[in-house]
Amino acid sequence: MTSIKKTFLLIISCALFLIWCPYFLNAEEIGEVDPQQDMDRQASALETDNKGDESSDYLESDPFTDEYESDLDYMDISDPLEPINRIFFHFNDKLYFWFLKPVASGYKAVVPRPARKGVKNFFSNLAFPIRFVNCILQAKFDGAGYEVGRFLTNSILGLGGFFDVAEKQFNMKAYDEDLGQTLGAYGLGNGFYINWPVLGPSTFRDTIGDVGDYFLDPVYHADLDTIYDISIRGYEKVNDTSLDSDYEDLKKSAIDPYIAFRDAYFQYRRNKVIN
Amino acid sequence: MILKYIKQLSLILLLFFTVPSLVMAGDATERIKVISDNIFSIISDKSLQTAEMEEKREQMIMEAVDSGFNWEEFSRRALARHWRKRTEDEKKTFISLFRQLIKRTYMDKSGQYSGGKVEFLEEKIEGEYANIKTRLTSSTGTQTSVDYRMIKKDGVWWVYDVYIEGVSLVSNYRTQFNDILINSSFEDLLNRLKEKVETGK
Repeated sequence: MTSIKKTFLLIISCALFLIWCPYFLNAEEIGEVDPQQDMDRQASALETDNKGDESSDYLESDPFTDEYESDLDYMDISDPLEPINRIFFHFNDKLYFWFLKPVASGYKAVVPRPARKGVKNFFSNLAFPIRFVNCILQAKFDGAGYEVGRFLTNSILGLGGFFDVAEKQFNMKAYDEDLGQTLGAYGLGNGFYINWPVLGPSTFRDTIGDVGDYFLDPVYHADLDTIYDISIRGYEKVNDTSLDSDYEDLKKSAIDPYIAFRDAYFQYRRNKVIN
Repeated sequence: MILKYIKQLSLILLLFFTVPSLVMAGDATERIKVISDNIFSIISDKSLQTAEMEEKREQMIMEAVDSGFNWEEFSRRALARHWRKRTEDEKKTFISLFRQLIKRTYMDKSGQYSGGKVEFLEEKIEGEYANIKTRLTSSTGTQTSVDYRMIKKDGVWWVYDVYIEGVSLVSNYRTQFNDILINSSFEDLLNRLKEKVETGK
């Protein structure tokens, strides 16, 4: 059963990768942006849309605009699946309010916060191979060293990862690296935006990354039946939601929540790739 | 493996005993410090936490925010290339609505941060622009990186954008506004803003 699952996943990911290779080779957009080139692109993007309009002069005079590259990000966002994505966004929204939120608040009422925090720490500690391997792949050897240190500290002193001793006592933060970021750091573009049902916002690149990371996840190697595998991930999601969920805050503050989440996702990931 | 661990551990211990010295006393940072101290003292003021003081409390927080945030700059950047096409009246209406929208978001959030703290990590200044990196820790221990982008006008520093976990507030709204303006009209945008501010939905 599990070997079939493994083979299936492998074939799917290889097929996806091969099909979309040409797309990425042609993609102009790259993960790490050369500031000068980027400013030119911003300028030309403005011109094409609005000839002779000088209202965006500030973009050129603002040194942080090109340095942090956030202004006019929407020019880069490719969303050919928008109609379908919106349907799934709506679906996930309902899933959140009708299922995830009630379950999480019931769980929250029963399980005290330190225990829920412990569960989060445990899963985070378990995902160490993902961060470690991706640090190595990005030649962040200090990060990889830190991750090893964190993993050992938390596994031993933190009683199997339930306590984040490394951060609390030694001020060692996790290096949150994943394969999507690694691919971004290699210069692979985001591709288009995908709002997966249940799983939520992603891009083509990050989806490939997630599939790759899945093989590094100990939960996968535990060779559990699919039903347990899904249950564990579902539980992790409920636990995360019970701790802090920004979902409602961002939704409340948005005029068009779908666009707001899409933009936040792109900005957030870009920032992660650069750092 | 063990050797590496010991090496790591000694490194951590070394880091642990070195007191982080963050030297800064810039004007821009000072501005943010004053504003955030102000807001923190309001939200942790027990006498303002009653239901009847709610309005007064909101008003006080908003005054503190207004003292440092330049709403015109926020609005101009959020509308980007659509800004110029608007008349002065339209701009005024927009600025007021946009301010109220951000206010709503701010107010909902502020409750979570009573008993939290702000750390000032870095100040970068280039000419008339500044970037202040801070880290917000809530009372439950959740950490959020918050960066303030500032612009100097007539010798005074004003906030024109806030980055939360690397996500620019202005940029996020700009993408939404742009989408509406391209597919619909400015009137529609104003109506949707009004509806949002009034109903909060």
